[in-house]
Amino acid sequence: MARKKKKMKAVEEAKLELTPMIDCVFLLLIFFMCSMEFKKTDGIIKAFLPKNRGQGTGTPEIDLNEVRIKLLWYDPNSLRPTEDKDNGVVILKVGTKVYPDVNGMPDYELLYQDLIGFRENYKGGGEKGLPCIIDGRKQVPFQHVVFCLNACVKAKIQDVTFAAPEKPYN
Amino acid sequence: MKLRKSEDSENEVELNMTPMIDVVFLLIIFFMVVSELSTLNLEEIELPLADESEVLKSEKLDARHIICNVREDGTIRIQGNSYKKEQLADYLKVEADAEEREPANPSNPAVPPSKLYLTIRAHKDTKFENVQNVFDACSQNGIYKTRVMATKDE
Repeated sequence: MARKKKKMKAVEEAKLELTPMIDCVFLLLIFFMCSMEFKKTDGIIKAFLPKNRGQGTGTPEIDLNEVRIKLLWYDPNSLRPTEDKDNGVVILKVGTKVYPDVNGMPDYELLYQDLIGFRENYKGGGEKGLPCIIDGRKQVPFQHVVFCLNACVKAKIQDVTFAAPEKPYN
Repeated sequence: MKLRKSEDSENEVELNMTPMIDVVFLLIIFFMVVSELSTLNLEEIELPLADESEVLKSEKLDARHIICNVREDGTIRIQGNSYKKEQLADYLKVEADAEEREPANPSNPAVPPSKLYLTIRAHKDTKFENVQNVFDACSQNGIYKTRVMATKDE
């Protein structure tokens, strides 16, 4: 009997079952590979700052034909400029034209069409063509600034800059 | 003959899984580390929409490239560290000085333009003032190659 038992034990060696572990490991691998791919949906828009302006003592050249896109922050009741950060509406203005609201925000499609017109009728001699300045009030949500930048890129305007922030008088 | 048969059944061909498991574990560790590093630079921020944004290709991101995250509350974060407006200008000065600069322009000889790229990842609802602070710190240090990150998806 003792001999038989010994023989049986030798045949039934303990083995490690690797299959479930390999399954889990492959699932983890596939998860990490897929999550890396998801990050690529983000895109970029060039928003280069003026190279030769800002810190210097010289006066920057001003093109009288430049387009200044104003993003104003108004009180929704009185429709006057407000400093209230939480309660306000965005008003889009170019020159004297105030853009109407579509679905609760200014009509950026109309801005794009106007920018095409401005670019085609530009008579200035700048290297990059029509200069365009996005002048946003400090309280304006960043999404609106990006909508303006997007309209400029779509209208193939190459010279886009941002107006410097307002400095308080001391 | 009978003896030989029993010997054959004992010497069964077995697949050695150890090298494959080694390789798979190495791959997992690689992806875990890389995803951890990428989240350090790319924080969970709801980006603004822009259908004209170019899809970001990894080959476009060279070594001299700073990603600046601006949260909804205005907190500025670079590589997992928070910066105030003044601290950001100091940090960018160090980074810009470490990088090669372009020839200075006669109208602004004090700050020659830097070759450094800076990408702003700002929350879509953050106030423009918070992004203006980053632009301001960039222009103080001659960093003019700035880019704004946006998303194409709704």
